[in-house]
Amino acid sequence: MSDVFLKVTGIKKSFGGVQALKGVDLEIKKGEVRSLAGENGCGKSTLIKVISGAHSADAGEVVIDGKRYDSLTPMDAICAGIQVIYQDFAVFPNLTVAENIALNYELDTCQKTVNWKEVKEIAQKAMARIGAEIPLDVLVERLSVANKQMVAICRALLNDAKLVIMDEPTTALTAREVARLFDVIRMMQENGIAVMIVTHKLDEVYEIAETLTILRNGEKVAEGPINEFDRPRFIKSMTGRDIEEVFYRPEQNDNKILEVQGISREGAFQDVTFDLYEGDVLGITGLLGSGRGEIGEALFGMAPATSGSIKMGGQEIKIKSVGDAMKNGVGYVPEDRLTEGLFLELPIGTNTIAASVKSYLHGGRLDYKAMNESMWKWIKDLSVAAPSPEPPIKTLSGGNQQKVVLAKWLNTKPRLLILNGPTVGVDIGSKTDIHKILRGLVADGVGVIVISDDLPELIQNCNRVLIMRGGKLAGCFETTDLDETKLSALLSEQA
Amino acid sequence: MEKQVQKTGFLRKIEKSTLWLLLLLIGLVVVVSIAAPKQFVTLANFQSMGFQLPEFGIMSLGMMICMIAGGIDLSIVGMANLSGIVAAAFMHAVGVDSTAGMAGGICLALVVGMACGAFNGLLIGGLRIPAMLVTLCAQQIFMGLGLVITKGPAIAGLSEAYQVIGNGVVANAIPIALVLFIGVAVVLFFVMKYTVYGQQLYLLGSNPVASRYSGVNNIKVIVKTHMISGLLAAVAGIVISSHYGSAKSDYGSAYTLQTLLICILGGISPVGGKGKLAGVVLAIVIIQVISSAFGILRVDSFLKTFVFGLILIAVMIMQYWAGSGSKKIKTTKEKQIG
Repeated sequence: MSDVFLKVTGIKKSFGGVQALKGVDLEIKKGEVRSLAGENGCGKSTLIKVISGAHSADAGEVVIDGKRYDSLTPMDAICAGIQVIYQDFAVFPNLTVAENIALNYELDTCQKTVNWKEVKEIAQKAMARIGAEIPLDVLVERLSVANKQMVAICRALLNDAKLVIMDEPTTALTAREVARLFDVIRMMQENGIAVMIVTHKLDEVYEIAETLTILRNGEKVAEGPINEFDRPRFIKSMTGRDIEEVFYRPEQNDNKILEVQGISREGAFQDVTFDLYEGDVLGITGLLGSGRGEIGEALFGMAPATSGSIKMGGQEIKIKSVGDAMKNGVGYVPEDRLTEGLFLELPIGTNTIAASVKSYLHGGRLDYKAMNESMWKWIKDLSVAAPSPEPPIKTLSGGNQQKVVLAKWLNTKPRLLILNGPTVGVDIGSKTDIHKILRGLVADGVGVIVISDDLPELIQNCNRVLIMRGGKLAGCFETTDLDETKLSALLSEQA
Repeated sequence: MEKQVQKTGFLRKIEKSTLWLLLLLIGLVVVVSIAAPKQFVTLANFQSMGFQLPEFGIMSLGMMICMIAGGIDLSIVGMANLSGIVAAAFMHAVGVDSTAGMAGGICLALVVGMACGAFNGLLIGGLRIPAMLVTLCAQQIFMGLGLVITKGPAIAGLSEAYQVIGNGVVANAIPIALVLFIGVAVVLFFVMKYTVYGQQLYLLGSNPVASRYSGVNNIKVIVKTHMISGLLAAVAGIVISSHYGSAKSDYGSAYTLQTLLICILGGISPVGGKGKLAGVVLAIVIIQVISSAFGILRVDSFLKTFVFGLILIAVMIMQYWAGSGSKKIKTTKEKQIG
């Protein structure tokens, strides 16, 4: 037997008219850690779904452990030892840790009754294998993101996994948790388990992966040992174009767009004070639960502050509801694009005008011609990869979807735009585009606040960064004095 | 024209499902015409269809907007009867033959309908109780209130003038009620297409969280939607009570299922955010043709409810198949590709 565990050749798959995969080959050896990289929409997810049996390929061959599968079902894939850990981990939040890990396994034994003692023992053993220590009786919904992930990994290993595919495993983790995850991955590797990490974060690829496969537009464009790739080649392969990482230093003046004085909301943040100057991009960061996102929600009136004052353009304003915020020209790009930002089933065009329908009311009726013009304008201006405004927005990739969410707010002509995680799950090309759009806004005198845990993003785009820690403002720093390591240390520092 | 330019792709898709309904309608008419040519293809039959259709037709339009908003309204029949009863009681109180009394009664009925709708809307939007529960309970409340007012039997003896609404014709042939239905449909079409509310209705139905994050006042839209549904139910209630010359708490009890069936058949998505008025109007006509066919072919009318139930399930199964094949209907759970 060869040491190749999985081999796929010439995989093709199309959805409607869109060819998501155009003949992709991929090989994973036993115990190999491979990174699958590519921009959103390049076919990564589709390839994973083909390998895990969720989609059947239109053409091509899947060979697992020397056995050829004509039509791979999800059950086949699991039995052959392929486990996928999705971004949301697919854990049951209402069950305990032990149940999540071992219940499936226990049910598989086909006994009529559940032996709870055994369930716990199995779960304990599974955790010991990766050196995790999570209380068994806690409900999974109360775990941190990192621990949920550990639960998902334990469950995968119990099913006798030989290849574990992780889809964007590090998006919601802190630096320390990422390091911990990588330890676990190395541990799995020592046990002969192959791991494929889907990611587009460069640093992680270098740290953990041995080999790299890059997809672009449904084709494999590069492959090889990690040391053959330097950063420029990596980016070039992913995007198909040269992208320099420019640092942007907005030219701020002394006009205050926004003055926030001592705002608080019980259980979210206390006594937060800051100013936003014209021409500036203000960054707000902090770990999950530090109150960074809640400040954005408060300024947008979603969960209003209960005390303190907010001034815009020198005038005190009250923001008690989303309506209040919008009346004052505040826009908000929410953190979770899919559930909070988009109307997935509705056309792209409808999504672009969703927050500004009222402005098309002329003489008692909506002006469809003007609406249509706006839709085309944003698709062109923001170079959204869409043939027309008609297809449902769910057909677009993450980066393009995010541009549409941005368009939705630009179309309201905001005076202040707050973006929470503006480039989460967005490919490098679109990320650059989005940053450019923000700079254009700032140049036009719009106030921009970026809430993000993407530290390089903040350092690249902001003049000043506010750091939140445990609901309190821990400091305001000029980005010229900061680098990633320093910022990272400031985040988790014990106050 | 501008509409063509703006929604070519979408329109094509809509036209396909509308075309399908149109074909179904034509097919049905042909079959029934062949089966019973002497009874079906007559002015009298078309006229009687024109008298029956507006009652549940107007109700179906109310059900439609509630479903587009992502909810449902199971209290439409209750609201209709309660409105009719209040109107009848009022007209009796001020004198059956008074014109002012009739105008007052009709206005009062419309107000009652809107108030009932507002009650539903506030519970659903404000307290976030599922629409299914709220309106199912509300149906009991409205029917119960109607019983309290009527003490059981129908309030009969309504004026000739009032009975013209449900029984009169214009131009010697066209039922007034049918004209009323067409008027309601046209106004509603305008409201759904050309008002801010209409757009927000679809946004809310498609994703209530995102609509909140887009500055849509969800509660307001939900309350408005149910008030419109209540208003339409009241109009239907007036037509019904006028048609029978009396008002009673349990008229038209089969209409709840029928309106639901019409909306599903007409392409209104049960999860909200999707569907067009044209489809629902076609579905209304289709159901009326089936219903008339039952009468003409002398099929046991008790069988009708059973058959309507079967059709509802069949349509949903077909839509499920169509959905899994050509991804026509998709739940929001499905993720985008790539």
